[in-house]
Amino acid sequence: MQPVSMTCGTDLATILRQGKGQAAFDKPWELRIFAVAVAACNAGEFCWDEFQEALTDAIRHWEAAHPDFSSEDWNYYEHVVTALEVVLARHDRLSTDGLDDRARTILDTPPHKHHVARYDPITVDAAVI
Amino acid sequence: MTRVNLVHTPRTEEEIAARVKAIESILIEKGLMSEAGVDRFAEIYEHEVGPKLGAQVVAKAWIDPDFKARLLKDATEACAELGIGGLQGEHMIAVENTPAVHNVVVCSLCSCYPWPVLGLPPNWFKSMPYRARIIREPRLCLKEDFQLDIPAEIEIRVWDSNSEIRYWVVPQRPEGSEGMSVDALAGLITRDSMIGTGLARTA
Repeated sequence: MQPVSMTCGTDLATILRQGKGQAAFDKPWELRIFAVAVAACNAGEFCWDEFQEALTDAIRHWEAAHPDFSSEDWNYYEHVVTALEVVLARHDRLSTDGLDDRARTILDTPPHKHHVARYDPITVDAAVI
Repeated sequence: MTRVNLVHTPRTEEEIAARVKAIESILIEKGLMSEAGVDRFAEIYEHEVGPKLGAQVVAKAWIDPDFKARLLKDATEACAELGIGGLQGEHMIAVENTPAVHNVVVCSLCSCYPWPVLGLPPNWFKSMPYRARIIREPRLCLKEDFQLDIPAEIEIRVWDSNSEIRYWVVPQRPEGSEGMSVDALAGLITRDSMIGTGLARTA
């Protein structure tokens, strides 16, 4: 547990005042990884308690490794990603190498790489008068 | 066994989004899940699961003393009577606010929360500052962060939800709500009032 300082309290007040944190998800990837975790659990790849334990471990490890972290550094769903990687690896469903390679490929292949922006219509079906 | 490094490495938003896509695409390729299946869960948790069910349960407890007694004795069973239950609701305990006691819920280690009645927790519930401060100085935290001033004569109890027991709060019924229907009463019950960082709205 982090020692409570004024900074700590201020962080929570700021999060709440700015209306941040009222939603369950701030970013699309957060919802996506959560849905993937539930889908994997639903498919019988692991039980939710095992995932929860890995999540608790991921958070504890991260907080221990970053004793001076601020709330800006903190993202709950990054720990969800870590926890999911851990339980899937434990069941031989994912490997770090495979994951690193795939993520690199995705980063190197923007979705619209081959799609050139055009200012004119690409097809015109002429009116018949 | 495949090893995954637990040590966090800084990632940009793009990098982490790519990693999420990578995990999903590999699992789909392996046939462990379908894209449509993931879409469906995303839809459920984004739009369909929320604190409305919990509000219905509390409203029923307010007008039905027998149900309230059953709810406080075994929340999981009482919710099952209303067809409410499921993942992360296997063992729920409802704690009642009274004129002498105010209850607040936290998950001190992560984010354990009763999904079937409250939906998914807001991000602040999962944040380190909330987890730290509500435990150390609950009265001050409620007052300064949530503008909820609990009078000194009222005891504050902080409950630690974990993966085995998920707590939630039955707020006090506001004065002036006599004679209201269950649905109207449910409209007074907020998510925060069932976490304990707020009260039910006044009628």
